[in-house]
Amino acid sequence: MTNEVKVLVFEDQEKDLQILKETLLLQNMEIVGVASSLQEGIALLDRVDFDIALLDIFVEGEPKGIAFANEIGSDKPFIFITSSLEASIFKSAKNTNPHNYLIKPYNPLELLFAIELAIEKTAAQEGAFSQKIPVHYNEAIFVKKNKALIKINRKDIYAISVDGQYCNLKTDEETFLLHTSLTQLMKEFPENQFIRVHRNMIVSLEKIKMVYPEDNLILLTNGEKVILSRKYKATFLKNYRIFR
Amino acid sequence: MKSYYKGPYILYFSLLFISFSTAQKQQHTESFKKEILESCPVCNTDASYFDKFNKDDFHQLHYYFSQKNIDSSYIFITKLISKNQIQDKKQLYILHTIKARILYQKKLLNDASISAQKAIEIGHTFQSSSLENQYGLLGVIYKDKEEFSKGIEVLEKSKSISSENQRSKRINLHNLGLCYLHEEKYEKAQENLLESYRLNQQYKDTLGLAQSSLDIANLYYQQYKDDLAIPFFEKGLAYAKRANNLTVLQDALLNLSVVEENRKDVAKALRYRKEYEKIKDSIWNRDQIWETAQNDKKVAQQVNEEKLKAEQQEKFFYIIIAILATVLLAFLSYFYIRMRKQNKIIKELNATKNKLFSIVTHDLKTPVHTLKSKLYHILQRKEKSAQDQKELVTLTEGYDLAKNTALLIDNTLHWTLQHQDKLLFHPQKLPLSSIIEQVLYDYLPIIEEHKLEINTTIDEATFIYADANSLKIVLRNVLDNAIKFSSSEGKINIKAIEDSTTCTLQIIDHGCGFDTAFFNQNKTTSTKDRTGKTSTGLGLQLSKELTEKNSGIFSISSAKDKGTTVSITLQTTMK
Repeated sequence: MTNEVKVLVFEDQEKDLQILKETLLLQNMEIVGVASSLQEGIALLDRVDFDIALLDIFVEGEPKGIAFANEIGSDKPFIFITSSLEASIFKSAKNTNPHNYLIKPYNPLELLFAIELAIEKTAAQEGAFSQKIPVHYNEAIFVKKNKALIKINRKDIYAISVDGQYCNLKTDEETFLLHTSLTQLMKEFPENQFIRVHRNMIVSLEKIKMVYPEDNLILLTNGEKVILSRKYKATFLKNYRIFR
Repeated sequence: MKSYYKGPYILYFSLLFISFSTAQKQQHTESFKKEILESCPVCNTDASYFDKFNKDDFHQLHYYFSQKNIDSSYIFITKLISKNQIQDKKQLYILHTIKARILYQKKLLNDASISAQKAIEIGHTFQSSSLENQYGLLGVIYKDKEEFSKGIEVLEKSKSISSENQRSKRINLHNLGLCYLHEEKYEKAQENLLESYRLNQQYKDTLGLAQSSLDIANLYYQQYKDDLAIPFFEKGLAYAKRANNLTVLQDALLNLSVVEENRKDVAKALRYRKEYEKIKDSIWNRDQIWETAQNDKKVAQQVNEEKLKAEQQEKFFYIIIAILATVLLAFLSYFYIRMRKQNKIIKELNATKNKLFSIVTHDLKTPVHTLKSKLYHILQRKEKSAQDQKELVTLTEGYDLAKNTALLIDNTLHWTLQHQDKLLFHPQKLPLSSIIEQVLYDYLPIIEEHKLEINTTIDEATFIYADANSLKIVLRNVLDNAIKFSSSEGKINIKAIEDSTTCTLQIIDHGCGFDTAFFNQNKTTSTKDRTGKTSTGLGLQLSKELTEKNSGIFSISSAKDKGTTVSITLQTTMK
């Protein structure tokens, strides 16, 4: 699946790792890498793309989770997992600006919430998920659907159309209702990746298979046909003469 | 002539006494002082030490003597004699001489004569230059003992020794003359007294002349040579007036009045007598003054002594206070040390307790939570397949038990850390409904089992500003109570009332309720829940504390059999 949240795990306890794996599986998230030592972790950082890192603070009996967090830096969110409630543990962690922490033991909802919170914070969109606002981060849109966190990669999007107050986002598998306006969404997207075809729809440039200017039609790669309105046709043809 | 006789006799004694007192005054003749300077180990090095105090026994002996402190001096004499240390003849000579003088002053005439004899004996062995003096002394002693013949013998010996000291020579001659006079050897007496008179004339010693004159007059008078006597009496009076010595003057006047009376010249006798009385009065006055002064001295001394006594008492008082203060200080420091020790022990015990608490709760936490989550999974699966109803009840009960124990452990751990101010605390913006959902997750099997109806009517976009971990503990406790106290198929309403800066969360159950008095008094209490299990108030107490830590307000209102409403007011923005 392409719409899974990618998680990097730093944990040396087999039991805890097992619990984490089970819980993440329940949440339909993908573990892209597990490191049980700092060295492994640093190696993984270069190799894998991930959306969030879950770090056990105490690895090999030392607060290596904090050291690992320093390696991650500020561009990716991470969550400290610990069984200790003592404030002193986090004294050195404060410097690494932890987006969140999770106290062991946790239930699946708590883990999910921690991840959501961390992503919201990294995207500077705190409280977005509760308000059903999509979160834009890591070339993707994160949304809640049926209490699950869904990651929609921009490259998987075919088209977004207005549906009343909200928008309908189409991938080749699903349709998502986003609690936001099309104009608002477009602000978050890089220019030229999506093209307005008529007043209520944008399509992904990559997903266009064929354009029929005479018929005012665009054929998408999934076989769907969308109307290219006269108003936007001129701009479209001017910018993308290549398709003629 | 009997009455005539009496007078001169009285005169003799008084005159003798005067002579001695004059002899007494020249305590150290030059030669004797020179001998002291030579033999004293202190003065030997520097003559200026003579009048200064020094620790040396021998020096103190002659020092105190010359300071007229004869008692102190005598102490050193006896000390030195008893030690038998002194071998030096000169020192021994000085020692015995001074001893004799002291004894003479004390009127212990026998002992004085023995000491003087000893001194003379020693003095002979090295031909002491001051030997003549000691003869004089011995002579005087004998004279006082009225052993005049012995006195004559000794004074004759002294006379035979040529002396440079004219003054003592004169006095010795005078005394010798007097001794002869007492022995009624008038010729010898006359010879010596005249010689003394001549020498006094030669050296212009007015007082000596007065005494000599009076004694010569007595000598003649006793031999009824009135014509010779009277001029000497008058001379004596003139010299006495010039010498300004009241005692001698008094004697001269008395003698003259007696003489004139005998000559039937009453007017003259009366005049002399009057003059005599006048002088007697002045002497008496002087003595009186002296006595008064002496008395004053005594009183002053007494006052001084009393002062000293008072000072001593004061000193004593201060010493007592000092001792008491020291004792008190010692006590205090003892208790302080003990208290510190106890404090240390208490601190150690507390540290141990905390350590034990964290170890126990930590070690219990994981297995209990694991048990809880395992039972949770089993229940979720069981319910779907809906198998054996009995088995399901048992599993639910087991889950309930695990959940309760887990909460108790979590409460204890939070309580301990909170009271050590070590609890992790990280407030942030949180969606309230999501947090409640997370907490309710663990209660789903129980809710299902008891067919409870939980109505949560909180907007998903309601946010509060709090620490997630402590807020969850509060909610777990409150929901746990609400669920426990609700009867089967009961209803629990969860709602939020928002205001500009706060949000009040209300958890309302319709269970059996409880007496809130205990909670409001900040006491832990125990109440029976629906199944008859008791619950301690620890959870609620902790909830209150943690809510307050989040700058919130925690309150409970409850009515028996009608239900309980817990209100938690929280901040919606960062303070």
